[in-house]
Amino acid sequence: MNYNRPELRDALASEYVLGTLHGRARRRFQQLLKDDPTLQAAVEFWQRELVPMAAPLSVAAPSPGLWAGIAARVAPSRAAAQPGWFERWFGVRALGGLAAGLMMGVGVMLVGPQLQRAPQSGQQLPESYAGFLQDTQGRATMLVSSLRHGKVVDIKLLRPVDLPPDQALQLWALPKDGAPLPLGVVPAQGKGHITISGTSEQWLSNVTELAVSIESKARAPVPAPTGPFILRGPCAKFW
Amino acid sequence: MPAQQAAQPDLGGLVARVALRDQAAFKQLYDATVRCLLAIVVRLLRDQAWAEEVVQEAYVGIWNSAQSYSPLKAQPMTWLMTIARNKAMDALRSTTSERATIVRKAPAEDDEDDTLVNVADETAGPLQQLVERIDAVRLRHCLQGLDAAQRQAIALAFYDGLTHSELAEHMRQPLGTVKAWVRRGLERLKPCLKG
Repeated sequence: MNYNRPELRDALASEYVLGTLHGRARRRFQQLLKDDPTLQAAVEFWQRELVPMAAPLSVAAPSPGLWAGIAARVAPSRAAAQPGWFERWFGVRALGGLAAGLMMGVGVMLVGPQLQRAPQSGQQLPESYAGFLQDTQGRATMLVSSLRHGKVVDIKLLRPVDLPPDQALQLWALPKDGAPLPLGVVPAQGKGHITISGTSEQWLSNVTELAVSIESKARAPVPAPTGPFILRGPCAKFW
Repeated sequence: MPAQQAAQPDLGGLVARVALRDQAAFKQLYDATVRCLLAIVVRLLRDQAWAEEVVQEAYVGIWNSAQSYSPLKAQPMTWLMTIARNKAMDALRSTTSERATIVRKAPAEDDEDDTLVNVADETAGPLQQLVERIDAVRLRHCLQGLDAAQRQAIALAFYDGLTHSELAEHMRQPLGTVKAWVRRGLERLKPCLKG
């Protein structure tokens, strides 16, 4: 079968999501899907469109043991055994964003070996999003950074922005396709941060640019920009 | 979008906390959604015990992949249902498992065509509020544009997990006919959904 024909690829994606691909065809499709972004996009389209109709008319009662079975499989002691887990957790704790007590028992166990590796790992920037915004005259004006799975966006003004006292600056994420997403109000000079609802990964994974608009101080943050973008620049993935 | 998600439980917010390994949020997410996900899987597998095993796999999958969830790509409930359906289809379509033929009962005769249209009905109950209303309304409109046979074949495949040959048997039609109903039905849905 020629998997390069667009209409065949889309037909296969729709039947995969519907559930009618089976046996070898299904396994082959899943294999192709792993490394094929356009096929992944086709599957995502059909999932987004078809899966909402799966919402059942009536619900089913789980047996009491179901949660216990799930909880046992995601317990911290198991999670700690997975590579990368500690780094992720540490990134969160460094932001002060999470109840660290939850994981404290595991944390104590792991701090020893982690400290020995610190000189190397401390020199690497953790996975982050980084933005670099310029004003309309092309002057570097603002740095934005956030840990990939963090919930805080750090902002540093490289030069002050002139702003009437009744106006505020609002930061926006500009997705590849779609309306600007409101990230929050930022300081007109110095440093600051915004706490976002959800993680940076969720907000920024599909975002190529960041921008800043001028909004009325009384109304900001607003859901859609009302003023022009006075700063703008790329949003990059640092990993 | 997490910030604007004002539906009863803030599923987007819970998924974001699950991504940060917040076990309490994970339990809340489970409590809010398990009865819905289990119902979907029970209907596909037609066996409660098997469905519970698959739902367990689904929640472990949710825990492990919460970091990759993007609110820009899907509503949180759509994402959760996608994971549950994928696990169920993996179980159902796995050729190494004989279980599908042993434990699976026949699909109920009375639950096929009408479900597909009714499911997105505004009066369908609080569960539907977990799913983005706009998607459901557009989908219902698009499904109504299909022939009855196309709609029924798609519904049986989607809700009951029937393969092409099971569809042919259930609808008492040649295999080629039901395959064409499914394929043409999906082809006709696409421009409507994109429009």
